[in-house]
Amino acid sequence: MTGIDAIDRDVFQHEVVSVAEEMSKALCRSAFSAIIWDMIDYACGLLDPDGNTISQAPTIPAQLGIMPTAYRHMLRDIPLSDWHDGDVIVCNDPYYGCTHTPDIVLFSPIFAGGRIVAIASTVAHHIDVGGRVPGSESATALEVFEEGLRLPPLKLIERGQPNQAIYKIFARNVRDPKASIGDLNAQVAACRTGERRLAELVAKYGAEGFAARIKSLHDYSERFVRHALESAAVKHARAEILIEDDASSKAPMRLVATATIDGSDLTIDFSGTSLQRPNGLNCPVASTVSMVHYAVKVMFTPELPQNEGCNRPIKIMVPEGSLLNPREPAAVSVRHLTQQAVADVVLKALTTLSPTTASAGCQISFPTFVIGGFDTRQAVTADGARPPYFVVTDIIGGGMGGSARQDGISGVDTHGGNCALLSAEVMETTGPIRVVSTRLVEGSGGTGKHSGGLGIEREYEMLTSGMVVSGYTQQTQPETAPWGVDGGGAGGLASACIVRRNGLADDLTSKWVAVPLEAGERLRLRAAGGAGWGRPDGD
Amino acid sequence: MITLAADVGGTFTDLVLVDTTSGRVLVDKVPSGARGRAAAIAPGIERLCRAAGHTVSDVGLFVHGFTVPTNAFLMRAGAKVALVTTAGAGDVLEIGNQLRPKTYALIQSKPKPVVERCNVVEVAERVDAFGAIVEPLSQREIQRCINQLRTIEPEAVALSLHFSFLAPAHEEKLASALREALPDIPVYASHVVNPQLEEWPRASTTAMAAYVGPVVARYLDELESTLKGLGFKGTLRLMRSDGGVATPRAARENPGHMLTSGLAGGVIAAVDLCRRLGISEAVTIDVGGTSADFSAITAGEAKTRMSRTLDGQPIRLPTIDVETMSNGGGSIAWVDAGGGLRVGPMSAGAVPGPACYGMGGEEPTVTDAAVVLGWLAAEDYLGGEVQLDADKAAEAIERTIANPLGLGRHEAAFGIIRVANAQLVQSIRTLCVERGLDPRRMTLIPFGGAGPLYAGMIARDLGMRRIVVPRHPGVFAAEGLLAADIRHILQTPFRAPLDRVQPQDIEARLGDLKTRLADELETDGVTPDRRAYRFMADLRYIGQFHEIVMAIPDYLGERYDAAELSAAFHRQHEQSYGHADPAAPVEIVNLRAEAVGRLDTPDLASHAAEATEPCRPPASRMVYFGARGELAQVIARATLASGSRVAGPAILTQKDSTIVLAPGDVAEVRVGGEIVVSGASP
Repeated sequence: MTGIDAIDRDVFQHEVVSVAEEMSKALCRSAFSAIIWDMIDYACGLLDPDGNTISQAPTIPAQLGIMPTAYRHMLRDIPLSDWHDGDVIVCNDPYYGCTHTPDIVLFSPIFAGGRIVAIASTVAHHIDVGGRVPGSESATALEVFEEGLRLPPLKLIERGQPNQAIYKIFARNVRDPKASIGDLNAQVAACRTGERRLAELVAKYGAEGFAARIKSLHDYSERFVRHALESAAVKHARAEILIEDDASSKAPMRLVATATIDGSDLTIDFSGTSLQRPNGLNCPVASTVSMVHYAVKVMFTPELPQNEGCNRPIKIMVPEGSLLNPREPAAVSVRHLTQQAVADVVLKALTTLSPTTASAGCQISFPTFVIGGFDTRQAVTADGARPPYFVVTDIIGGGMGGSARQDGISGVDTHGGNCALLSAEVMETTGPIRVVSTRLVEGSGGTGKHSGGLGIEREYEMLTSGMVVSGYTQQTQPETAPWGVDGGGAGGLASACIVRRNGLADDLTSKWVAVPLEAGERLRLRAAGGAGWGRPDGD
Repeated sequence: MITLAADVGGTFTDLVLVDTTSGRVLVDKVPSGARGRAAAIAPGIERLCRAAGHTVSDVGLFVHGFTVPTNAFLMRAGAKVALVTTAGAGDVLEIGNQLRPKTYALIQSKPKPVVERCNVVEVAERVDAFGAIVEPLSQREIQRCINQLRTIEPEAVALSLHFSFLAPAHEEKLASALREALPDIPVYASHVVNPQLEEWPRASTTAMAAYVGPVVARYLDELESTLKGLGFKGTLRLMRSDGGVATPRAARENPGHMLTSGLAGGVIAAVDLCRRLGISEAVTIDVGGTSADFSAITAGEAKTRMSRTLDGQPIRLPTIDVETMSNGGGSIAWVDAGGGLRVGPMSAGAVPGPACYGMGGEEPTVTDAAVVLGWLAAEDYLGGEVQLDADKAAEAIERTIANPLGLGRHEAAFGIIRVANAQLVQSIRTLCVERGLDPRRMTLIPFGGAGPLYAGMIARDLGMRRIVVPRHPGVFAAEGLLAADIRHILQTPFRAPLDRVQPQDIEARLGDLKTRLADELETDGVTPDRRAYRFMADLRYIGQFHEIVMAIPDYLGERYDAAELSAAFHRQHEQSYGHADPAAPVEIVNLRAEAVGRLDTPDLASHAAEATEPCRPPASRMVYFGARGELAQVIARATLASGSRVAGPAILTQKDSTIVLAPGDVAEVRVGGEIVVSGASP
């Protein structure tokens, strides 16, 4: 090591996290869409030129985790020698290291002394990238071609000059070009912030001192994780869970994870997992890998800033052609449901290895919907204006599992996501949908010595007719419910239904597509509660 | 005239007395006494007046700053509040925005709202997104609500109904019914407290006002009777969170404005300092035992922000833009499982305190590191009132940090300070970048007991070239109270694209706000020649969900000009976020108006600083900046007259603080007694 002591490294740790956080602030503040501004569905990070994570701003783990995989794919098409100062590379191809099409990934090189010393990266969930349905996500999609515009690695900006052709194609293929272009530019602004600030750090330490510090950071994190893995009392565990399909089949899908610690190496093997299916639930391998890294981190090193060193001791085996490593052109747009299940099944296996840091099963039900249409409310069209097109989406939170230490928390998104709830007043201002109620569901937390957190139930009333709603949820059946530990009860089930004007409810299955709704009808969504830990009467 | 300021903190109350005729300034520090008791400051006030050769009846103006509402909130010792919401929205505070506090943690807790879930009452009523009533609020519902409140027996009630900021009729009707039925219980309505879109922050702001309202009222009752007992006949003013002051009446009516007033004093003092020294851009940092507060001053003014979060609860009222982090002298250093050095978030607090206090603290703190490095010495810490045990500090650092990491004692101690500073620097950078500021062009103003100790390193890491240490860093916040003016602020929703705004509409709205503000100033007894008004608008690109609060012209006097306003917005957006879209349409979302009633503030710098103590023979000691020690001069600040220069390495001591000068730093004493440190470049 070239004279980097522990203190130099720990100071540098704060400096590089600070750069990622500044990128994050820059992106959020200049974004156009509620999905970024209010729901925080985006991520910023820094990589070294080999694609190893240097630092992240902790927003959405699922997006942060795909950056290294995506970056290495970019290099196949555009070798690093072709990356110039001022370039911004764009891609969203799930079969080229990215995740699902709405998550657009940008990379920009950071130069010092004529050499690339680091890469700034941002991922943002765009509200729509075209395709069959508003929001581009559909559980019943058969192929990725239904899921909107797919961009291969391209220079969105070349030496500071925007490539107008890409912008034009993009604008013509998405439902809300103004918001999408605005959000894309916010991502560029974040990259530029990262470039500027990281270049300052490189200037401070010199290119060699900078690289030595990164190496030192990675080594430190690796040591930390290995230490934790070595101390696990149990070295081998297998877990499986079921998740609903309800898009291509009534039969549920099975996820299997086998965790084995050998010395300080951890292997996660997904053999035994269901094969890919003709629906949108297939999970691109970058997302699978990302969620394994997440699960290992929360279990063994929750307080450690995430970087490549954390992942070095982890080996991941995912059978090709399975649900978690599908072959092109399988549809993947609602992969977040499966991705949450990846975290869930890996955590279930790791719970056996490290019970003191674990929790019982969390909600991964993710009830969400998208409604698009024309806002024909009288007040909107009063002065002769044409009814504007709107897209509204919402995600509601549920309970986290109880743990050996305390009860689970209520009403949150979990694992790979951490999306905010849309304000009822903002929603009704944006489109003809009124939130009638938003409640925590009593009794939805699994019983236990430490009970699970409660799920949210939200009811939406349609204010105009002719609307079409698509959506989905998970954990609607006893066999897919959040799992209790040591005698703790399962979490309460998720559900979705339509309440007709006469007050009768029509239950929806866990996936529904293009269901027509009339004014006065209501959509009622309920998220699952967390499971309990330990017998309620135990001590 | 005699002007007095008291800054009541959790442990100590700082007092500053200024005789405006002679220019004499006296300062004192007294224990605050039991939490929330105003009577505790009486002996301190009497003592200081006596020392100045006056009686309390000579005091013309008494400005009072207090952390009572802040602490009541943080300790969760506020009033029992009932919240009334639209049917279906009763869990609004529990659910919040549903974000989990920690992204990477399976075991975690959510901050608790100030209203218990069982103390929420839902009423059937509905207003739509355009202000039209969809479901009227019936007399039966009102009665049911009253009955439920009688069972709950709250000390205060917060009302927050959907879209009440567009159509306040339901909240007004409910509020007047409650006031009639429950005359002893204060009622706070969201359309008055925070008339603005988004139900969670509006309900939270209103509930927070209700939570601290009774606490503030009780405290003011006691304060007024205490002062009366002392023979006080002058004017009493109270610090607000936004850096203005309020009359006792206004503070009782709008207690939400007092919530973070304890943070404002230091920043106002810094603004005053900047004005005197001609500094336009500065970062202030107040380092105490358990926390560090920092803020940015731009164009010579403190930034105001329209919302902040306190322990997870949003409050959308203007506050001086101060960030707080739990990182102070008492923060504990430790080594993690990977061999990384960490500082905090655990703190040794006041008890047992750092290891060097010798009161049973075993863990090394940032203060212990400063002692080991020779930055702090037993003989000059708090004027020698607290005995520091350097051996205990060294032992704690060697045992838990130096030995495990294989470092020398001084390297380890310096490492603790570097890591603690790196955390502060990261936060200050984020503060600056969020506001589009470049710290390298700014001056650092450190205060609080420990601010001047670490300022040199912080400035170096941020690339700042100049530090200005106030004359009395330890009581700086109390001085700030004397520089504040009376302030009132109002807001109103006003949504329209800039190019479709009817000039008469905006004039009418601003005129209405101005009239209401003028009434407030009239009630406060501010004469018209001392009144000033400022107007602001929350502007955004249509389709965007966040606003920039921009100063706008007084359209009562000037013609509304959409093109000009739009151009100004694009410029501000470019400056704040690095890009703008001049072709995109812009809309107004809210209008705001602020009234200032100017007070006679004493000029603390009108008299040159002279050495108040005779020169002593120069002392020196070994001071470390890493492994290498330097023989540094140790100089009592009181022996330095204006114009004196001191080159580092040196330690400047005074009762309430210590300044560390690294090799290469040069300190110069200014006419007002401030010390300017330069050469702190990287």
